[in-house]
Amino acid sequence: MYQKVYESKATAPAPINLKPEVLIIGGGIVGITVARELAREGVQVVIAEKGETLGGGVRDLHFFYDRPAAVQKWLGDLIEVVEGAGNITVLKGAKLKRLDGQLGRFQALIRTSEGRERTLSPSAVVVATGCITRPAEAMSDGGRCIGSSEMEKLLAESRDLPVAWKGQPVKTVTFILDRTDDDIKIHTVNAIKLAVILQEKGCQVAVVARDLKVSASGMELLYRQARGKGVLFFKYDEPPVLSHSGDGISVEIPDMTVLRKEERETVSLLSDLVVIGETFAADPETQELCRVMKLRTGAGGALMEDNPQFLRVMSNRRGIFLAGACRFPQIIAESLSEAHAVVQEVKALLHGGVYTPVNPVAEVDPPKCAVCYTCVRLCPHAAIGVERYGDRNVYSAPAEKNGDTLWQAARVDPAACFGCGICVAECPARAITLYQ
Amino acid sequence: MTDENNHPVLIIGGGISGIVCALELYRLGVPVTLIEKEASLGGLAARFCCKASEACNKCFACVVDKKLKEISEQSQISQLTGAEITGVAGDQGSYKVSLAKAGKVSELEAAAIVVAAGIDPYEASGKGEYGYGVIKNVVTARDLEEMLRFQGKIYRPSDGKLPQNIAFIQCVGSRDESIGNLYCSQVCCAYALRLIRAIRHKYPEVNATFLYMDIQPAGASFHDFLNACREDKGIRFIRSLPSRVYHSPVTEDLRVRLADTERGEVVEEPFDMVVLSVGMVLKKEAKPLANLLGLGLNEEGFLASPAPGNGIFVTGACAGPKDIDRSITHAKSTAALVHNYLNGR
Amino acid sequence: MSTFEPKIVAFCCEQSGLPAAEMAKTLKLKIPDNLELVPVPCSGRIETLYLLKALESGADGVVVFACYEENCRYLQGNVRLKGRVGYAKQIMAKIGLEQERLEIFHVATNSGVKFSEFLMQKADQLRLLGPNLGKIA
Repeated sequence: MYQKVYESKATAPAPINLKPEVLIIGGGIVGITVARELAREGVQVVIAEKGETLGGGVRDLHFFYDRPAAVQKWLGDLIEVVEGAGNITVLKGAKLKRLDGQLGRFQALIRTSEGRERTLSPSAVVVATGCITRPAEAMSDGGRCIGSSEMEKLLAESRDLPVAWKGQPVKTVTFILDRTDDDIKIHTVNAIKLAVILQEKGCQVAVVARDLKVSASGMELLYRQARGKGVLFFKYDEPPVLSHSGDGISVEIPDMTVLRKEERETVSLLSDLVVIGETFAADPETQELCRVMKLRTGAGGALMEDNPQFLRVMSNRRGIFLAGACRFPQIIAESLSEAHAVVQEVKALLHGGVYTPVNPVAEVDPPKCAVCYTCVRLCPHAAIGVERYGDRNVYSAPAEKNGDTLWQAARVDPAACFGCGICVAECPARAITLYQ
Repeated sequence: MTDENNHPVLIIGGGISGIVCALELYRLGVPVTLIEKEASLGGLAARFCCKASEACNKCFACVVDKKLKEISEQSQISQLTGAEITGVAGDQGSYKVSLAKAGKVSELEAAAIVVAAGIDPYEASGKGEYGYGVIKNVVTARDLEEMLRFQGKIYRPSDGKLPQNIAFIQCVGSRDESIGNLYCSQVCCAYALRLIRAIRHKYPEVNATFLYMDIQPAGASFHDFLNACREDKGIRFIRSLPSRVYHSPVTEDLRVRLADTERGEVVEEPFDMVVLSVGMVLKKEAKPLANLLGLGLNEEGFLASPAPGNGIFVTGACAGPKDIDRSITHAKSTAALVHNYLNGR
Repeated sequence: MSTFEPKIVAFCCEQSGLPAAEMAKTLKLKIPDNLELVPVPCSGRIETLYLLKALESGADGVVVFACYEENCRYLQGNVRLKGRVGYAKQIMAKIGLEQERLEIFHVATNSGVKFSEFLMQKADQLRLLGPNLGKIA
């Protein structure tokens, strides 16, 4: 009655050998964690970092919210392990220029800042490029308004001394949250963490937020600790108004704790410093990378759309995984959990040294192919390419006329095919079949 | 490794974390035994409903069903349901675990033990002012999920009619010093809002009021999702947790006493139904299990991560509140750690 | 018309529709008697022609159970399907077939109840509509 959805075929696609070689793009905390774990498994790892130092966004942090250790020492130790490991190569100033082929036959061309080029043939690629931060624009002249990372630096440098900013003592600090990024909890975590330290140093701190995002392990306790130490918290519906007042900045906000509207007064928080968390944004270079790697982009140019079926770490192409802030900025513990999940995915992929296609796989019948590129465009997994083919096609003209008559036809790579059948349904020449 | 009683990894708990951990270890060629005390696998997450409205709202409930199917087709993972751990002997790397199944006691050897004991939803009757268990039309979000999953509709338990006006009370059992739960359960804001969207999609005539303290984000697309909720005229956001729920014994209608910040006064609003967004507490049975394994509790009352190197691992929400999404990621990362441990790294 | 039992062909995505159908079966929910399930790996596999052929060769209604948008295992399948169903509906309009005879319904793996409810509603709707006059059988 209907056409069969699958055809059965006796010969299964051949298994594909996978060497234990992995390319990691991005040398931030996620990238180096994945590298360290995979290197311990005996995998040859290459980290391609676009900058000149490893560490990424974590270099801006100095304090953990949930433990007393110093972030930079911890990061330094990690970098030392990674740079000292025999089977990890770190390429600095490196950019991925091309990625050809499919799982098992990836060819990555990397150009370093000195202009040297290197070709790698990794079995899996991990994208951990992170995101960029932009300073929040709070006031036009920017004076006395600093970012969260600058505050961390001030505090780390001041050690046991009182906090000072440009030589002037800092007595009152106001954190303003949720002006942007109302879906990211990093700002709340950082603000409360720094507020506790500042308050201990004798400053008076206020935190002004729309929602206090305490949905991280131990955050509610830290929040209570901050209140106990005298940090003031204000919640707003309308963003606070900032104005210069004497030497400081006045942050004006209605006191929402008073229920009756007519009794509600505007509180003016006179602050020596106002701290506003940097805005997180997708790295424009990530978009370029997506184009090179044929990955999909999601909201705001981040890597991959938010699709539950991809379980956070998988991409639309087999053998390419992603983790960390390039998908969505998260606190360190959550990013590291993703990093370990990627390690697991890579280990499972490389386990046994071969990949055997298990899904149904689409196959093009070359003589029927008209080389219209419909399937190439539509394949969500970038599994289809056009290749030279010996026999004559039904529809298309030969690609090269002089010498050998070489025809072209689309070819589905069985290693990269997920077996969805979108190409089968779209092919105008009905040249593609799904084999079970 | 074909000997039935000699499985190097024992996973305790057949919820989503345990299932994913077992599947992932199986992919690495590690023989696994999965132990579940209930009659079937799935745990808490397998009773949730799809919370899609026009498009998917990323609740991950469908992924649980897929993983369940995947493991049911995997005959090589030994799955013991209806079994309970009664004793653990031995140490580092060679544990002898005795378990009772249908009255019979048997013993298993394990090189590593993964605890994926999971969580219980907070027992909402502990917050007497909301009247759960006493007032018929006060239900928990979990009750509502099961209503939608197994019956495909929502109704007032008192008369079976469609409620026109529902209040969702957040932070029931979370962020509450009076009951000693000083932590955020991390998932309730998102699941309550997703439920509201799913209900409003199915029944556009139903209005919802979302009573909250702070809205906690969840995942990459939450920003757009929250904006869609705020633009929805049928959802009212009030930053206020009610003090009490009253009911009329005749009509079973409810009145909720709350401080309305918009109007600037304390009001008693009528509602047809009240849904309590219950938080998470560590599973009751996890505490004796923790004692058997020598695991401690952290300051939030969940299982503390064990000292590395002795072959005991804790994964999923029993280590701290997690949604399905992060439980899966966590279980995967645990599988990688277990594999490292087994290989002596 | 009381004896008329419409034939429904339901294309089910193996990622969502099929598990939902299985769930409906395990929960022993009511589904129409004259139903034919056609499993497909992804709703994106369904060609416009399949939909029309089904109507031509005896179905009174065709339903496609697809995944919710942004929840497709293959990212784009359900989006591609939407376009094809739209095209099929245009053709149906031209030949004078009722639009109600073809519909996409989004389900998840765990929507067994929705699956059965929707099919029962569809059967009622088709019963009122009467037999498909376009069939060649």
